[in-house]
Amino acid sequence: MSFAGQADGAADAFLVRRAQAGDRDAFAALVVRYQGPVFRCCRRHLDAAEAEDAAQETFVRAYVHVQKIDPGRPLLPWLVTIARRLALDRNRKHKPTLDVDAGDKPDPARLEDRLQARTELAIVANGIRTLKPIEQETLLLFHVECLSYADIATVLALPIGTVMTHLHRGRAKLKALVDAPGTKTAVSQGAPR
Amino acid sequence: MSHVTEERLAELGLSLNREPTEEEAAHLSRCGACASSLARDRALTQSLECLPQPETPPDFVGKAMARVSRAEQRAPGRSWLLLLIAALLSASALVVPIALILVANFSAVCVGVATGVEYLVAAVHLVSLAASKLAAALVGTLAVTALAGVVGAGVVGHALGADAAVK
Ligand SMILES: [Zn+2]
Repeated sequence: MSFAGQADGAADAFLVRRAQAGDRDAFAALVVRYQGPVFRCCRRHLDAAEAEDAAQETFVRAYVHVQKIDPGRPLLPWLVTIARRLALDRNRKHKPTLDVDAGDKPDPARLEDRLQARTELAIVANGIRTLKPIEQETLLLFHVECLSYADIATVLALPIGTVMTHLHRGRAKLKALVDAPGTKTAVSQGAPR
Repeated sequence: MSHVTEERLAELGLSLNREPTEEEAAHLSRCGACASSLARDRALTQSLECLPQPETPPDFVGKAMARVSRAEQRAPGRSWLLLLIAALLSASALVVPIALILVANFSAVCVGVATGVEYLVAAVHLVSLAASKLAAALVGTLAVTALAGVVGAGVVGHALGADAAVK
């Protein structure tokens, strides 16, 4: 963990204690800090409107149960666990399966995206949608939300070994896509021939 | 040293700021195969960290905090405290006159009845402060309980008082 991570942890602990003492501004500061990962977590399973609703509900629950938060522990895994559970519950009610394409897709019509399509980033962005949902989610929790193996294991309710397997399998599949001869050319030319 | 193991290279490549040991660094500077494998892993990590992500909707924080406020207003925390006090008071409205009856003192029973009435008024006042639907439902229960205490105290007290008068 970096110094920045430790500083974040100390700031979180301070804000959590203030929120537990009834300081709503401190709680609002936590919402500002974690709105991104909480919304993204919901968006991976729901459409934009449902995801916004679930993400807000996550913070309402966090506020109602603020006394249960241990200020000595990282807050993000706790929030993401609530957010994911709410999102999966709604997803089950409205759709039969996990929405694999919950991320915002690059629009091929935009010049910026066409330029980006020449890069490895585009191969990875497209390739990640071909992974199993659990591999996608593990990769994003690790690389985008920067959660540890242990925290991801808590969020996904899986053993740490299984989390590591999903992470390494997902990465191996993406590396194979990046290394595949002709992949970059095909992507740079946009449409399949 | 021999090549850095594949697992170790994958582990080093998981993050852009994981540093190899001195020995590994020395090998990486000499071995093109290990260096390029690590470079591929790190490039993948960089791509994953830079993936376009959905933006949080506008005014998310304002809307979330508005919902927090609504939830707070619905939260029964303080009403429950008032209801607990009211329940304790109405229970004592029963206990106090009975305790007084036990010493068979009619005038004390009268005081007890008066105390009961006072407690009943206090309980109803507190419950009305709670002002929730649940509180309203409990008002009836509490009032009946307290009234039963007061009436019971009066009846028993009267009986005991009459008994004492015969003796
Ligand atoms: Zn080597």
